[in-house]
Amino acid sequence: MKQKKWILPVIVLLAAILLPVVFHIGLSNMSILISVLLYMYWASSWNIMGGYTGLFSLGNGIYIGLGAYLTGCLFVYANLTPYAGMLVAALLTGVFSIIIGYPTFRLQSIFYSLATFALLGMMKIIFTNFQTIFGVNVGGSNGFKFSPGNDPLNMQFSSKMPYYYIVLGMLVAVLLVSHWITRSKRGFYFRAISANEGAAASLGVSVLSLKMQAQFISAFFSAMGGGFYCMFISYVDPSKMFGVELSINVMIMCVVGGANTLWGPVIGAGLIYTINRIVTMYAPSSLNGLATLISGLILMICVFFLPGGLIPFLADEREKRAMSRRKATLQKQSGGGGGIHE
Amino acid sequence: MTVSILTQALIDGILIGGVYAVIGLGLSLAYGVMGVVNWAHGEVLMVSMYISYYLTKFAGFDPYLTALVNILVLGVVGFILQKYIFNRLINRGKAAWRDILLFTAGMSMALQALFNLLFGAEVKSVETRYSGMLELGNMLVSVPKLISFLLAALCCAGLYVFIQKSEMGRALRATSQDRITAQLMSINANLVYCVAFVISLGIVGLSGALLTPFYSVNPYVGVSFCFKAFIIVAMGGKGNIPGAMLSGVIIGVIEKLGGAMVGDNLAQIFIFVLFILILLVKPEGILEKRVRG
Amino acid sequence: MRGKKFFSILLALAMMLTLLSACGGDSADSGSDSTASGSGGDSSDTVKVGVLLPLSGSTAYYGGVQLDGIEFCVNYINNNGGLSSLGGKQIELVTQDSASDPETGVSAFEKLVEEGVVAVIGPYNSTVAAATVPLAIQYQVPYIIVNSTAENFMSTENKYVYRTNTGSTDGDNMWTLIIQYLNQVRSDNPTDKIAIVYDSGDWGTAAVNTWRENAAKMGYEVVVDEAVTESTTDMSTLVNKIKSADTDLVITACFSAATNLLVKQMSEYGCTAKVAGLGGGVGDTEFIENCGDAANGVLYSAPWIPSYGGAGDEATALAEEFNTTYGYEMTMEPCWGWLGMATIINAIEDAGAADREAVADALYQMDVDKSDWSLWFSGYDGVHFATEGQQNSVFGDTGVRYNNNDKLGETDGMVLVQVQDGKWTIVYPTSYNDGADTIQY
Repeated sequence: MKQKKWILPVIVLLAAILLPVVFHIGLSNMSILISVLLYMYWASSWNIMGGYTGLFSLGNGIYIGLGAYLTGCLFVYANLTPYAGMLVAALLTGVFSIIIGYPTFRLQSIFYSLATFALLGMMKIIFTNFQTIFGVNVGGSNGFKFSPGNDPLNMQFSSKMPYYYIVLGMLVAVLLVSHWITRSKRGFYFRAISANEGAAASLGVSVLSLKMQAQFISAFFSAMGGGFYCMFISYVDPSKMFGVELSINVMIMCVVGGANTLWGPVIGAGLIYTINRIVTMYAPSSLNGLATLISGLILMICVFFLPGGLIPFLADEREKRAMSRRKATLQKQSGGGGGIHE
Repeated sequence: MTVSILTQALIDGILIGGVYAVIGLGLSLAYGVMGVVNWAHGEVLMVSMYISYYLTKFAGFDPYLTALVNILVLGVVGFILQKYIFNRLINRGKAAWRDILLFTAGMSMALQALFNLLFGAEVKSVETRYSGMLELGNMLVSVPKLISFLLAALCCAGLYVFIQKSEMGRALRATSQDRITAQLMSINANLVYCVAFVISLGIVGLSGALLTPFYSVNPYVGVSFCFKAFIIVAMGGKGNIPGAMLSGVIIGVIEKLGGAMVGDNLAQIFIFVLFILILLVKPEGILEKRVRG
Repeated sequence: MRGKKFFSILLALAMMLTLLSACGGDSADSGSDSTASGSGGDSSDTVKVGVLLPLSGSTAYYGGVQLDGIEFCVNYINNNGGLSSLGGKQIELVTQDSASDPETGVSAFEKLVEEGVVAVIGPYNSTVAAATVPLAIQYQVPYIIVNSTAENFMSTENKYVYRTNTGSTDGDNMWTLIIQYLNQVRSDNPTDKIAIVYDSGDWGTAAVNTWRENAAKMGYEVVVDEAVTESTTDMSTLVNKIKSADTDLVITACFSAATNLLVKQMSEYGCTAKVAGLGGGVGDTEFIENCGDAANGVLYSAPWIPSYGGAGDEATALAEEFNTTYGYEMTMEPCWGWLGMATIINAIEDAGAADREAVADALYQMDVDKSDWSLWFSGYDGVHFATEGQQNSVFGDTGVRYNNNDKLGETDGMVLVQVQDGKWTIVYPTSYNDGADTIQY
């Protein structure tokens, strides 16, 4: 049974690896694919904190943005190759997340969410108003940019394919970590906190320490994604990174797909991104902002009718149908011998 | 930085703080009675401001009278929302607040986008007959802001009386303290929730009218108000009316004094810092007694 | 059971990815990577030119009106014989939406490149420009920047990226002249205390930079210097600061809401400083309407537009035709759209082929003066990108020039207008008023 479960994800992975090789995918479609994978990655990263552990952060962008800026700055000012830079940036961001998280973990969940939201707003103001931070020129509201080059050792490629494989690898990595959470004892504790914090505490584990770990891991991955983004576009825009839209969109993708599940964020991201794309492409330009409207409506509908997200809903449906099938089979078996006729 | 600038900032801060208080109060009530955090609170304000704007500009209404229309419309909307949606979400159990937060976040996005579609992103403002300044010494007090402040204070006072003295007010207080017991005392919790939310949105409707004479409206105007409303909820305490009033004024004053010192833009950081401090130090509200344990 | 669930999920995922790459566009037929070839845009009997503008998102309005100007220009050429040096071929516009967002702009730009356009015009937003300029250089596609005024574009010298509107610095040079003019008119009350109020975004910050830098040199003192945002809800404190500092002139580079608020509250609080806008909200069509009486006296250094007169008969007739077709007067964005598009058309004509390299070279050597049709709606002196072999249009410098940059004289690129009795009135150059000083204090 266990072996069977691995076959399908591996097949999909192989398909994804071979996709750009077999089909010739144009430039801009490559960009789209890379963006989708990146959002799937970010949604999965948030899931570790928000879905599994119940730390409902509304400020995901903090970590993404920090990862982007740190990676970029390390590359431009310290000549640190982004492969290492991304990791360093992610580590630093993870530590930062714990420092700011520590005082907020004790809060009632709703206030934790609001605190993360407030922090996000603060980061935005700081990065859009100050040209230099701690003596480093980060560009202020113009954003942080540098010339893209052709330097594979520094994650600068002239073609899109290497980027595709990098982000695909990152997605696989974060999914593996998520999988580990669903299987391991620590992951069990994370999810216990989400379900019922009081009960979790009674299990004898330090809730605070676990929250810190979850937050660190999640922020780490989110920041790596930010670093990737920085190298991909060679440009970091503070109002986008620390803006409400990015954070909320990532959260929506995870929630609609199914927070607290492994594939939920992936499916959710793919779905929402596709819908957004299609709407923006085919909507008449007089209907400006239709995509956001639809995203909002999707969220509302999903929360109301599909609590828990798409994946659990589908799983439930599947279970229900299986149950009714079983019932029918049982009835057939027992109904014959009773001799009761209509 | 002269004394006169600071004093002027103080006055402006108090005046605008009154309106912040009323807006925050709406959220505080909803949160206090039913634990509903309405992420779309700012957007409700935005809608009411649009209603007031159009009525004032094209139907010749007096801007303050549009409050009546707003209260009516938003009251009905609030009732429908609570009865058919939020009551169901609340009954889902412990994690209901997450669902409500998400639902209202979706609502907020959708409303912003909808109004952007319908009315465009341009800022709209209207000239009303309430303009001009009162001179107190060499201080200038804006007339519409003063009127709005007084009306806001009146509203808070009225609400306070209602909550403390009336039957329904008692039911509201009881349900917010302990829903199960309140139901045992034959209080219909769902009905009480509806009343609370109707009041919550109704207050916002009033605020929209209060802001129209001196504020412009666009689809995104609700965002900063909503944030301040959250701060008021945290600072003032759940459903605590004097707390909300005080918090609103404090926020207004900090905003204006901060603006005088470092500029309005950077003063926003003060607000954020204030919020975080409150959350860390006394999240149950500055006027509440400290909850032990 | 679980396996079946996984299977359906993963299948859906695979379908989605495939759907995405398919729905990514109709360029599935562009077999070879069309970035490799130097030629482009030559398919059937049209020449394709790409347009990258925000047609959705926060700046959709401006993208829309700019597109109007570009389309108007293309229609004009197509209806008058097409591209003559290419045997009358028609121009076909391929439009992509940047959604006012750099990331979307990047993939939109790439889409245009794939479609085989011979050049791209756009993108309005400075942030999208920052993200797409490197692409133009990388894929070797001529790129005419219109309307992005921020100064710091990519620093690689190249022959592909050009700009046909003035950057912020040129506008500021204009203002230096204006301060001189104001002091000349009011020598009894010279302007020496200035307040700077700007939007904290990239445009606003860049627009006021030169003011700050030139302060001491020009002999004035900056007494208030503050950034605001569009969501600023109340400026009473700022206005009070301006008032108590005895400010003479307030320079503002803000968008609609902030500009309106500033003007109205200055009037409310009795602050008598003159307000001068560098663009943004001041140029909005509803500005005067929104501010009412408070708007009187506000100055604006406006890029010249046809309604200011003196355009010549054919241009005036065309401007009227624009008004009839699109329902509004030709304002700054459509005028600049015309100029950018016309420059591309001129380059294609000069190149004699729908070939990216040839067009890039033609742009590099472009040198037309005021009488050229491309400048009918812009009032600039000429279009000239390289001086003596030196590429001067990449660092935010521009290919269009004013007449006199260093002394007080007639300049046709921009005019100084003032709201008088609820209407915009030209006060400088004084030739519009037969030499009289009509500025109101």
